[in-house]
Amino acid sequence: MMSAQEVWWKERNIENVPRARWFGIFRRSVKLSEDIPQRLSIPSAILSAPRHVSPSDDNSSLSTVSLMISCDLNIPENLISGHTQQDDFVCGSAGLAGILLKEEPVGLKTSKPSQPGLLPQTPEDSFHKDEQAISLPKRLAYLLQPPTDVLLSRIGPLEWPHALFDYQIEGIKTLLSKDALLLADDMGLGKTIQAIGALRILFLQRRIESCLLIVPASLVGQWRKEIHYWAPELRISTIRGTTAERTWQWATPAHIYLTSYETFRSDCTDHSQSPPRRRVWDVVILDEAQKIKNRDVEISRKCKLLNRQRAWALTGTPLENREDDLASILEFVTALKDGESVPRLKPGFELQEIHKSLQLRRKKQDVLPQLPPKIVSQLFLSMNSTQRKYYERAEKEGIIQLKESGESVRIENILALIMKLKQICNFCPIDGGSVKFDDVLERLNILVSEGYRALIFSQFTDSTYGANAIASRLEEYNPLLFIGALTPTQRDSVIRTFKENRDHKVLILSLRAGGQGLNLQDASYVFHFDRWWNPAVELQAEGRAHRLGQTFPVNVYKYIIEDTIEEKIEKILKEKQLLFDDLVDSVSIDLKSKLSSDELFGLFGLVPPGHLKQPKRRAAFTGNYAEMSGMEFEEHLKQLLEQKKWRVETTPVTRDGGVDLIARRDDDIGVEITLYIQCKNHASPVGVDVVRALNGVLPKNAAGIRGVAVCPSGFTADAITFAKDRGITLWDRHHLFELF
Amino acid sequence: MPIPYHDADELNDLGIAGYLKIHPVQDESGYLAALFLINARGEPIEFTYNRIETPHTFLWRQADIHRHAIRKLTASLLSLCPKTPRLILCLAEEVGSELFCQDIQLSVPVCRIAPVIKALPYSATESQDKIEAEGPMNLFWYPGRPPDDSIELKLLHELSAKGLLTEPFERALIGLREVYSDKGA
Repeated sequence: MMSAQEVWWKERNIENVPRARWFGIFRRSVKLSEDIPQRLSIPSAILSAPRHVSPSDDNSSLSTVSLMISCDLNIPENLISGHTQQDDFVCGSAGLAGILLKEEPVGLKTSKPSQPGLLPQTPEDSFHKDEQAISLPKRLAYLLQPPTDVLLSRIGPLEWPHALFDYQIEGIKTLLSKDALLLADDMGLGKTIQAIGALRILFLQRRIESCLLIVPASLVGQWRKEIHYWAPELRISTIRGTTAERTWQWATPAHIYLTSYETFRSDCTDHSQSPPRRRVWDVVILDEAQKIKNRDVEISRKCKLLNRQRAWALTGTPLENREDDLASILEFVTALKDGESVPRLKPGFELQEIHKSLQLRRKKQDVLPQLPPKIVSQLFLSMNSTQRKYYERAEKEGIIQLKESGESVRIENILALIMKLKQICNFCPIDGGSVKFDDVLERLNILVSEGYRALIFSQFTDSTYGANAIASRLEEYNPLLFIGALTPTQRDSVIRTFKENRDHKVLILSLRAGGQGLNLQDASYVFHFDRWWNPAVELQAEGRAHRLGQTFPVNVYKYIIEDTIEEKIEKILKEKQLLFDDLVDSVSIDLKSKLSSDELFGLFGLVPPGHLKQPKRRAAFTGNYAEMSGMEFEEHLKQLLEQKKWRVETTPVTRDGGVDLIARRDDDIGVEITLYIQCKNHASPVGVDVVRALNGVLPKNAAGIRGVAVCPSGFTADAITFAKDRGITLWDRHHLFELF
Repeated sequence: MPIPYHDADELNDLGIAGYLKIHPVQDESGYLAALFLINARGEPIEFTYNRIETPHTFLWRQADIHRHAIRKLTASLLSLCPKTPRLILCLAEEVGSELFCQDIQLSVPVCRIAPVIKALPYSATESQDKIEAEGPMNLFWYPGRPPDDSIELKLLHELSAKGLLTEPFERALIGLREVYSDKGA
């Protein structure tokens, strides 16, 4: 027997309730015929009349009881029915947001009829400025957008991929409230994220419709990725390529027009109808704005020619003591309406005052408590044309050689080609150019001027592609080199010198030699010049700087060159989640064992020969651990690890000190990794005592040693927390199955 | 060139929620009301509004005038709103249980919201529920709490998770003030 409520729910035909289709800020002309709106069917009101009163529905007749409530009800007004054409009612898709989209669609705004002040500066405070110019529906549409605080909230309607730090939220709010801003936060504090966050909200609130973003050529890809990540709904038109392509790209409807300084310089001419100057930009953003520090250079002059409602400049370079540079940048950071000329600022008190009012700069020290101890950034860079040309030629030649090898081709041939291409990603062997090095140099300029020092890791040591090549180009920073060719005495000397003499701003290390056993808290910036695709190795390297004694957050930069083998492998490994969820907690990964032949050959569009087709993995272990004795379980685990090419020894039962198995294996760079394994085949999750005992017997300060506690039934929350804090790996049933 | 758009199906499928806001005019000469529709992301979809003037007469009890005015005002908004929300939310301190339990019957569920710390009457025909939003909140559902797996409940939880359980009422009031700035809103 169903209750009345259940009957109500059952009888209600949910399918008949039309669904509002909403395409967010992009729905400009999408019309869906299947969703015809229905008006609510309101049954005749069941009046519960007041005693002695018979209220009249039409307000026009007197009740027989002699009294009437005379309510003056306005003729109902509706924003949509009152202000839109019949056509707009197809599918009922015209809503409040639609109202904002009806005027001046993207791409049609021209510079001529610019009317500063037509759009409100903020939805809350300035509607009444020009109320006559803005229709009521449009004013409402602005006002009824979610408030900024809600939008910035982690649990708000915008889904931010990560929580924003308080200082970043403050930065976004400042960007939202200022038409002109020089955001000069310390490097690594997330200026990019703040700019994208502010853009996202401005677009959502319909306060802007177009943004021109000018960045260094090497960072175009990085910006694209960051925008996709932080504001996936924003459409980007990247301006690059041939003239014909660029013409089309400038005309493509988009929210953000992203281009490099070089491309912008060639497309922005003195002609007022050249693509970048044809419209009034709602926002123009210059990344690495120090590029226009010289007001006499062409790029500086052209940036200031742009018609812009808002102008933001981003830079991590301290400018306080360089007034000429500052003046040039601040000349840009002034909203320039159509017809206005660029102001000429002169060094002096006035400039300093303007600087104070237009700059937002937070140093790391200011926001130290908010920062995580380690900030890892992946930097996607684009090669320059010479490097790209050479890379593509090497790749083509390599593929031809592989094809010519036919059936005799081996995995090692593929790996050799990968290695060669990785080297070219570091430096172009023709002219020595390197987009990675250029970026490192730019960052070093900033961080060294602020008193910081850096470690640069590379897997190569030679003078063409590796550590020596980097060192020879960084002489101004008095670099030190720490590579495998040094004797132990020399190594000690290098480390001592780096610690004692702060004139050495950079220490360049080969991963093999410098990845382990060093304490280098004196450096708070770490650069991975090339990727090892092994988180463990990279973590060990980062650990040189990020360890006890380090009082400052460590910034780690990892370089990946777009459209190269680096990006391809990164993508595959990410898809397989090997970089994050490796079964042995990132102790060791080597490409050969982690990528199948299909995947390795597929990197070059090839199919592996028959003899390299990998046999299918064995069926997962389905046995019952509960039926195993402790010894059997140890033996079982030993076999599993040996299949993975670990050398495993069983410790004597009576003197194991809490360690049952010791497994060893050389990792990719020839460093021996040792696992101290404690096996507990308990029926219930293992507690913190067991993990604590294991931690107690691990050799202290020994490189490459890691404790592993194994229990198919899992671990208690305390145990997991303890293990995490101490770097101890825990394997439960799931991990054991993965070992197959 | 395809038309750029972003279709986040999951949230779209949750539909839209209607927030019924009733606000007395400052000089007590009537009420303003708005039915503010937002989607699961909190984006505004529709804003329907109206006002009613109530007589100042000793012959009528204020409670009766209030009830009648709110009923008429609400009915006018509902009949005009071109979109159908999945559910209607209102504040219990503004809308009494009699409006939707007796005066107006709807084909969508209605949820009256009240902070737990406020003692507000509710009807026996409503079912009471609780939710942790900006604080512990009582929910009074009519004709009853939607089933756990219903879209209506999912929509409510989605809004609540995003801090949008009561915030849109504030926006609706801002909208009313904009519309009726000359009417003592």
